[in-house]
Amino acid sequence: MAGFLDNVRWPEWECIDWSERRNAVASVVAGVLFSAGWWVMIDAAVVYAKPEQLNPAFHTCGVFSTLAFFMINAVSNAQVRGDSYESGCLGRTGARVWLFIGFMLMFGSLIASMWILFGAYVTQNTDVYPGLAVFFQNALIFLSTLIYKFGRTEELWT
Amino acid sequence: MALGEGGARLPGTRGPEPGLWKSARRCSVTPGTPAAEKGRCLSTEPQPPGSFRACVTSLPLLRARGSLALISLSFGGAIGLMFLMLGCALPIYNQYWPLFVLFFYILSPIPYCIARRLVDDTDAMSNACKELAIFLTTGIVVSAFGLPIVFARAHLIAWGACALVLTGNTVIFATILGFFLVFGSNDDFSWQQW
Repeated sequence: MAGFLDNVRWPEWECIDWSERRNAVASVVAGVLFSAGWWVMIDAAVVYAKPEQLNPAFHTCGVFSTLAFFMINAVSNAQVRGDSYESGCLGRTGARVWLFIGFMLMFGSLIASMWILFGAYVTQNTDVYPGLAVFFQNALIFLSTLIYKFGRTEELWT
Repeated sequence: MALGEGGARLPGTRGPEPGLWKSARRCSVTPGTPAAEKGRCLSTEPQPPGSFRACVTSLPLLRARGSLALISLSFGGAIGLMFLMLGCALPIYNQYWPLFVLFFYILSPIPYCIARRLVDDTDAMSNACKELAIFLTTGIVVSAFGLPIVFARAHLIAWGACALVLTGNTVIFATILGFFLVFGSNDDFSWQQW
């Protein structure tokens, strides 16, 4: 019984060589998700312009998510491992602390957006779209961060 | 060549109509020579003067392809801008808000051009710079699609105008992409190639 899915394989798509283009594809997908997240929030802010429909303080989550995106992607994986030639201005431990703070901001914003969705919109008897917009903004920026950070390889020789 | 000293045409020869194809050179390869074997001209048979084939066959092969690509890309750009202007200027719409996407059209090639000029090809940092440029370019392209949709949701423009502007966006970005694919892939980026 154990391992009965071990021999299942994805269908082979040999026509396109993905290994050469992996970084570019990851960058494109991350860009689409990031900007889609922001445009969802812009759309909600335009359509639900009154403060009682969309409290302006809810934009904070998106701002912190974006800040976390740039913090997380500012350090390369090589810096964190200590593999690169020059150590940068923070060194290896500093890079790890930076990455840790970045991920904390990202997760905090994501959890806050979920809290806003359920606490301020689903449980009250109002139109739920602005809450969904806040949540999707942060979720899309989170996914974009993951894909941009972990979807690209840093090897020069593949 | 059929031109004598000083560029004067030798008596008894005919070239392209003056003023019509000023930049076309006559095919200066005589049949049977090694250059003709390499296919420098599309055809070494004499063509009827003034015909389209005469004009095209008198251009070297690479220049013809470059010129045709340039013409078709500029046609695509004109069609895209036509859709944008239709979305603004038709009497039933008559709202010029969608012209703001021109800002995104102009902005979209800039990150990639900066990245290409700034870095070499073999560094690790160059890959990071190019990927950041691709990321920013994708953000700009998605924004150019999002802006008309937000305008339509805010009832500034009609949904029909939004659809026209989105169509124009698609054509323009396909044109810009085609421009980079056709003209941007050689290492020495020079304006001399066409």
